[in-house]
Amino acid sequence: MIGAPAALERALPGLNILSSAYGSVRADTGLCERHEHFVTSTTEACSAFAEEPNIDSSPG
Amino acid sequence: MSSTQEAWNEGEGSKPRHAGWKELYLKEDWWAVWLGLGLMVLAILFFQGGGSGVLKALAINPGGLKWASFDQLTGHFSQNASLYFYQFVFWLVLFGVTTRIMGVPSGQFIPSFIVLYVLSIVMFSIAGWVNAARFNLEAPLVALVLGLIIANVFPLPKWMDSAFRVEYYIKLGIVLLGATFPITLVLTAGPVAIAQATLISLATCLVIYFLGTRAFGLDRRLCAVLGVGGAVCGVSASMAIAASVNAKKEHLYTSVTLVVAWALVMILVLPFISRGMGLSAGVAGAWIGTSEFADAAGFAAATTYGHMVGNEDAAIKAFTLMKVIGRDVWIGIWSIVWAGIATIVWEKRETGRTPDAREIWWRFPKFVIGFFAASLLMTAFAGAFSTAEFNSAVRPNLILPLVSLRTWTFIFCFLSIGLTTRFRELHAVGWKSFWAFTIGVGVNVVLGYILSVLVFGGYWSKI
Repeated sequence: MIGAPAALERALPGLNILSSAYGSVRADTGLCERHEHFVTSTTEACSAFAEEPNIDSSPG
Repeated sequence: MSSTQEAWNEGEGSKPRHAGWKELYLKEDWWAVWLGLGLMVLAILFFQGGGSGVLKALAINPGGLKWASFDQLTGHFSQNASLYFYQFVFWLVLFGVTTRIMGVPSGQFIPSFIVLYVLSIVMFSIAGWVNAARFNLEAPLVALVLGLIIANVFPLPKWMDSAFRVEYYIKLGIVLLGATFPITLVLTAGPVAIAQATLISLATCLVIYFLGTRAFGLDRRLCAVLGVGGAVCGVSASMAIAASVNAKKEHLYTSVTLVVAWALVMILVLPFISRGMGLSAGVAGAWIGTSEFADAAGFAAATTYGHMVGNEDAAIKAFTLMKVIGRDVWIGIWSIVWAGIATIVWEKRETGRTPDAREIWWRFPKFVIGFFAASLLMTAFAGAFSTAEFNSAVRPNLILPLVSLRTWTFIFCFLSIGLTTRFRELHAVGWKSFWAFTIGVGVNVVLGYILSVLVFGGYWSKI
């Protein structure tokens, strides 16, 4: 699940041209990488989600 | 993991976590509010303390120079070199520190911002040429075109986008705009703007949605994403609705490509059409406000037209009323309406969520709060002066420096639009999506013209 703004802008090239992942309108919208669809904190959790060990979510 | 990433803490888990109070320092909307109001309060304190020179020095730019020879231009820079240095440091610290808090690495931001600042000086210099208007060298247009050329001819590394923050700059500019926007105008013109914007937004969204689903047989989630993108505030709105209807990544890609392409076309075309029709600045500003999708693109078009007809103030004010107050603030409501449709009319299995009224606040563009606060505060402050005092003291020593600071943020924004638009990054879209969106854009532009010019033209021309 991609939720951090820098990672989201990397995952969606062009998003930052006339928009921003750092803005309020995005709220908590994130991207489920497995199904490639958008999710929020009020979405039902992805049944296919499994914790991966040693995830590095830092930018860069 | 950096402390900022820990604060976001959205990159892990089976679904995102709402930022809560952390939004106050993690979202650029709130930083635009803090910086905009902070600058305004500082400006008032300087004005009260007789130190307006500091503010004027920070707001310096060669845009109003009307230079006729390079000697004149270079003379201006050599004479004011120290002021420009202080100004550069001022902007660098302001944006560098706040973007760092939001998680943008300083090592990427600083070199990128140096490029942006130098290009901005070049833009102001071009706009300050005595013959600039004769050749249509309006700063927003030149900034956009130059940025597009640089981004698409020279392979700028992606990390340079760190300082090309289109939305952050325009949001701060809008809060600063509030300081020159009488609250009485917001209150009197707001209802007309909201009524006009609601009519057009509904028509545009429904045309795109029903054309897309019924005539072209497109996925209804894609049509919802495109419909709101065309009707409300472009890619930002598309993303909000993408979350409401559980849209796929490719749906947002389609919206990004179509919104960016049409927004750029309209920046370049609407000002010239408006001039060809002889529209007043206020009327054209309202029309642009109903037709453009994104705030940044719309401000570029409205500012350009304002320069063309020598009345930037009216064009920007009418645009702001129509776009920011008339359209942007309702995105949260659009989100829950679409979440409701997706849940109640479509299958819940398809969306996986139920409408949540809290989204009206969560998705509210918070910078608008700063705009209203700045407008209220400055209206109250200026109300203590007579008209003569306002014109002789308040306007030159307080209002105009704030306008100049706003102009800087707008130039940063317009350049950033071009510099981040790499056509090779935009995904190809299908013809069906293209036509559904394009017909919606056509309806938007024509209906916007009818309402802005024929129905409310008398009203907007007096702005």
